[in-house]
Amino acid sequence: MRAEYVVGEAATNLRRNVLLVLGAILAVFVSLFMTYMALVVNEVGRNSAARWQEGITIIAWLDDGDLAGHTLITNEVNSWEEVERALYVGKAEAWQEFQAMFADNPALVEEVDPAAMPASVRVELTDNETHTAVVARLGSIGGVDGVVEASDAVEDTLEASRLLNTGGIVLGVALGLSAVVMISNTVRMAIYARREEISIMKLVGASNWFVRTPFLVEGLIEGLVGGALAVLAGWFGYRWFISNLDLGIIDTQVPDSFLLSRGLIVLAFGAVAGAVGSLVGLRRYLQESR
Amino acid sequence: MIRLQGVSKVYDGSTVAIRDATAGIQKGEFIFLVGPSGSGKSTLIRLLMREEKPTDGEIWVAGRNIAELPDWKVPYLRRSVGTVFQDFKLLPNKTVFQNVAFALEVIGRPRGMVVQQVPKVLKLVGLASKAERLPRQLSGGEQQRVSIARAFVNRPLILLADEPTGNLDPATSVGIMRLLDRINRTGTTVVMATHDHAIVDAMRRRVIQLERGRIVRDEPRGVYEGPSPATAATDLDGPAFVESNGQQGAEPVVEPVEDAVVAPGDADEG
Repeated sequence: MRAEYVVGEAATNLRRNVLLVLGAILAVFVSLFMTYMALVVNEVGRNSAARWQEGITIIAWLDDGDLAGHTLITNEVNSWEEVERALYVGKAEAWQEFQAMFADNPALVEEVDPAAMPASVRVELTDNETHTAVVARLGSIGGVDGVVEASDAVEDTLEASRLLNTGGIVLGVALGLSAVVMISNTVRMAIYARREEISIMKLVGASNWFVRTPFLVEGLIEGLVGGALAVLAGWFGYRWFISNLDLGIIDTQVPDSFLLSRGLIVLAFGAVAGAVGSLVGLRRYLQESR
Repeated sequence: MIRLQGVSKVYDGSTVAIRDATAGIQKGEFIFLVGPSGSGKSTLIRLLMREEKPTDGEIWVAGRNIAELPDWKVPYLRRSVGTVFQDFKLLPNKTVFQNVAFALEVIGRPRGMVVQQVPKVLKLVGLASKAERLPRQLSGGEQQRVSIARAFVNRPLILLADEPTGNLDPATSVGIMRLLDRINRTGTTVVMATHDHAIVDAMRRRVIQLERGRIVRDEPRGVYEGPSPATAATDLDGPAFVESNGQQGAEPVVEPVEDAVVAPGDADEG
């Protein structure tokens, strides 16, 4: 079977039902665009949360003790088995961090006395289950001024991105099913339009795959075009919109390599939707005949 | 070439189309299947091309029991069985050449073979000069010649014809029969279901007569004989049924161009 024959027949099918075909492509596009965006937003959430915390979920502010006392506390916390690592941040580092954080507000930086910056111990847990217990224990140590749980903000961010992600995937799947139905309908219409030809093909002994392949290719093309449009729209939508959003602590940057790899997955989804759709359409037809 | 062994076909569990039919057909034979509408002629043709499966019995075609043939192998059976119908079944938007070439293309024959074989077979059916016409620009007889060319271009072992002259006037029918006879002389087994007394009586070939699904007569060099003219006249075998009028053998030199009122679909016998 020549490739040009198959592609030519598929192209004829596509031309014959332009509106239906556009509908099918649109359905694939919307569904895969949702899915693609959900993947990107999820990555943005995960990324920013990860970068902000770098694993650290608890900060214990220390009173104005000396370095030796601070080191003692840090070492003690480090020895707890719930603690993956305890990082000491001295006054000088805290000052640098403060300056960086409020770089766009020099007046504020001017106001603050570097000496007033508290030192802290930043704690990464081995297991977040022990969170509450560790917070309580840190609070009971002499020399600890107060305990801040960085996790609240992080959890919120993660939660939001999870919701967006789940919602996006659920919607994407639901729309994906409708896309499959749309594709199977266009294939069915194409089969109907060519029923005379098909009956003669079967009469003179064309093999089943010879009859089916052009319709399979038609569905594949619809799925792939819809998928490609979704990836393009998602990519530029991200670059022009999401990556330019200023969400404060949330870092909205994701690397091109991520966009590309997920784009390819989305494209593969499109191909699968196309193949499944046309197989569903063909299945019905094959049951009707013979 | 063909052997029926106790073949029965029952539709919907109650309508019996073929009852316990047994017959053998040799390679190169020319068979007329005769009998009134509903006697099972068309069903038999459909069984032979595996459009239908028998309810019971064995159908051997070219050494294979096609009652047991898996669906995916049916296309390969069809390549050795050509079929011709009353309503021609040509593709209206393809030319004569393309209609015939289609039969080779869809079974994956190379282009070289197509351009070599199609003109040859068009010449055989006498349409070499009309290769670029569309079916609607042809008379009914010419259209049937195209469909015969399409059925024969792949050199099938067997040619099945279901009322091939059913839509044609007697004079045109004679031309079609001469063509089928020529094809038969190349060694192709021809099985033709027909109502046409004149043709059957003129050709004197083996006649298998069906009556309510039973083979009631199997006679070499037979005549139509079967139903009385009165029975045939009440036949509801489609609008284009042409009653025998004794014109057989009088083939005109120039085939008359008729308006070819073709009514595909509504001439289907049960």
